[in-house]
Amino acid sequence: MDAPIETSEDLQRQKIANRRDVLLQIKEELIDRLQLEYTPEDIDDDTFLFGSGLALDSIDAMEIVIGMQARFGVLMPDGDIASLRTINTLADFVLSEQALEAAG
Amino acid sequence: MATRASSIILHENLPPDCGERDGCATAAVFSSAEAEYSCVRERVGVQDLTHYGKIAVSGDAALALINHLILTDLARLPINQLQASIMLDDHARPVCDLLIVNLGTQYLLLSEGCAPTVVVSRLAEVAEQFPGVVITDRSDALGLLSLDGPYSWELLKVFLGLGVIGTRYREVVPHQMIGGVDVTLMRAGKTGEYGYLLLCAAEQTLTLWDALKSAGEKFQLLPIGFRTADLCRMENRVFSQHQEGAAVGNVLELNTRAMFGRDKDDFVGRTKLEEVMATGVSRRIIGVRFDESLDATSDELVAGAQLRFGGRTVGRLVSAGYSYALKRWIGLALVEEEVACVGVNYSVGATLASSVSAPFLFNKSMTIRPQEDSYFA
Repeated sequence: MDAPIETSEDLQRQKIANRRDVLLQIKEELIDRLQLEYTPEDIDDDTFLFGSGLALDSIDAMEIVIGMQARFGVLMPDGDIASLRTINTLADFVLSEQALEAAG
Repeated sequence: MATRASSIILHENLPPDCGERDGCATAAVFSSAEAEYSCVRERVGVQDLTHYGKIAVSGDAALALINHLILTDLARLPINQLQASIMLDDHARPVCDLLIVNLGTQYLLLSEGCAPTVVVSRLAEVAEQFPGVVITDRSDALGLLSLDGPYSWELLKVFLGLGVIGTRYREVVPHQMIGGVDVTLMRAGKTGEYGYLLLCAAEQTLTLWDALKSAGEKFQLLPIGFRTADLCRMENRVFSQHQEGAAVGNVLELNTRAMFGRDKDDFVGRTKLEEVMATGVSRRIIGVRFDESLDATSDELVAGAQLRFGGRTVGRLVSAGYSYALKRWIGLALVEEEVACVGVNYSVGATLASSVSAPFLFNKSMTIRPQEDSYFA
């Protein structure tokens, strides 16, 4: 079954602001760490990291894992390729880890 | 209205009105959408891509001409590789999606989303600015099929041996013999699974089709119609002119900023795109999933349906389909940038929708290692 859907506008806007902050930090980390010739504004949230998006490779993937740990203190498990699809899937992972930590 | 017809229709004893795409009569569904879907997601399916435009552009200024009309930059595309791109109109709206193949002596444009004649006209309109360019519509002279699915490489291995698994993403390998047919093999697809395009002389398409179907029997291969192909594209957020492309006001609303070829010479729509880049898009395409209680046979979700948030309309649905893997309806929506963010909940009529990250699903192909795995293991 689906989780109950949050429809409070204020709460949702707060979630948007929080997510956008994480997305911006992810883009900044990738640009800095991988020396990408982009600004954060050049990268859409649904941009794929590999293939037709940012065209990264497996070495870059290792750097992203290190980058997420350095920036957010979250450790991506080996083989978690589902989180390495797009900027948004990276954000899903970071936010989920942050929520787990906050829950204690 | 169809002005061309795929020979596969007659060959498979399908009715002439079984579907139409880009002005070509071609099958929307061969058997059942669900069976075809499971074939692509679990095994391997064969697609008839006769409707694609196949347009050759040659001459010293071929690269410059094509670059003038597309979003990406072809300059660094090596010989025997292909690049995915989008052809633009003068207002920076998408005209069609392209796979552009660098064959060394010419570029071959594989187009989908409009009739091949539209692509040829678009090229011809600006050709005067690029002396010596030769544009040839080979859409009726060349046949195009594809194999898509987590074990498509293994089916090809039957014909081409172990070496086929070394074919890299977007690599183009000419003169491969499959069932006695000389094929240009291209590793590319639009379903998110392992995919291979197979280009041959048009008169050999049926021979190739039969050879693939025959060898595919032990993989329980099925022919795949464009309805299933559309659903797979949507699930993997692969751009489709037929779905989201036709709905947007400019190409950047498709989340394509990273594809924008900043370093190339002037191209159509560039001024418009730079304006949008400077101010930011006002709306963009997002993926939404619907409440799982909505039945697979529901006709509630149609393109054009309004998305509401905070008591007002913030966007509209541009396509929707029932995902057999996710067991729920999913869709693409064009939504105001302010609320176009993952995790937001909207209402669409009486149904609730939530925005989710691209892609919608995790592909089986991502877990398959051709060096170690097998369909028969």
